[in-house]
Amino acid sequence: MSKDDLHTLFETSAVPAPRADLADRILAEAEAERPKPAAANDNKPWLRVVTALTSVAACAMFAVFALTPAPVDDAAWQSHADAAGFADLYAWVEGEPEALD
Amino acid sequence: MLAKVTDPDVDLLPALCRGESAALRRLMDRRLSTVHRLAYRLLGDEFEAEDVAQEAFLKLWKAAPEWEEGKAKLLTWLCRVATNACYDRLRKKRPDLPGETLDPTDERPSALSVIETRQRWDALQTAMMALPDKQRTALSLCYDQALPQREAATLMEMSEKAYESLLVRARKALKETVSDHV
Repeated sequence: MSKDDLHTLFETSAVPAPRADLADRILAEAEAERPKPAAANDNKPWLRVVTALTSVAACAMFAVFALTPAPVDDAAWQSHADAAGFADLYAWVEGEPEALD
Repeated sequence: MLAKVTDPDVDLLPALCRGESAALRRLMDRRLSTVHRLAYRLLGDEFEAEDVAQEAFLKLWKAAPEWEEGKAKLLTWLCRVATNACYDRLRKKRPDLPGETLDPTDERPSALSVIETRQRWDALQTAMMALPDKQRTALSLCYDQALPQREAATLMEMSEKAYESLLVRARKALKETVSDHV
């Protein structure tokens, strides 16, 4: 069998064409896989303004809470300690060294 | 330095990059039958061949926006994707049989019986399916005229000389199977 015979064999045994709807199926699949872009008229400028204002407000509130020192009220702590029975402990911690001897 | 490749389908590239399905349709009008033919020869199953062709075109559709013009022809790229997909499918079907060691005479009795009943198509395809995957690919690329020799060699990731040598072996193996009966 020569090369020409092989050519003839392949020519007379050609692969049948794909089914007619294959291209349509591929196109449908391609369309389904295309990322859906936002509609051209789906433009909400007010949403950007609201988002920006909300972010600024959140930052401001955080700064106020983080930077304002908490008031220290010694009398209030002392009364809490007395009520809880820690008066002796406080007296020992805060008392004069010679008073403990 | 690699020479730039002139692609006959280059006119469709800009539209493909923009995701225009009309361009994909045009490309399929030109190339779908070639890719399908190659897959059919490699797999021997028309439905699987259609799946592979679909896979190749959808991959191109997704890859088109990043396509670097001049590196490869669209058809060569499609055929390579299809060939690899076919190899994957064949590997799954017979995971213990590496391509080149497959005995080309495995299906000989079957091929002969089919030839005797003058079913030329079945006979050729049966004989083709008995060949190692790479030999079958080389024959299909050569005789089904999917690609010129240089591009076929590139697709198979070998030199033109190696491709020619593979073709010689493939022809010999095919002739052994079908000679005197066609």
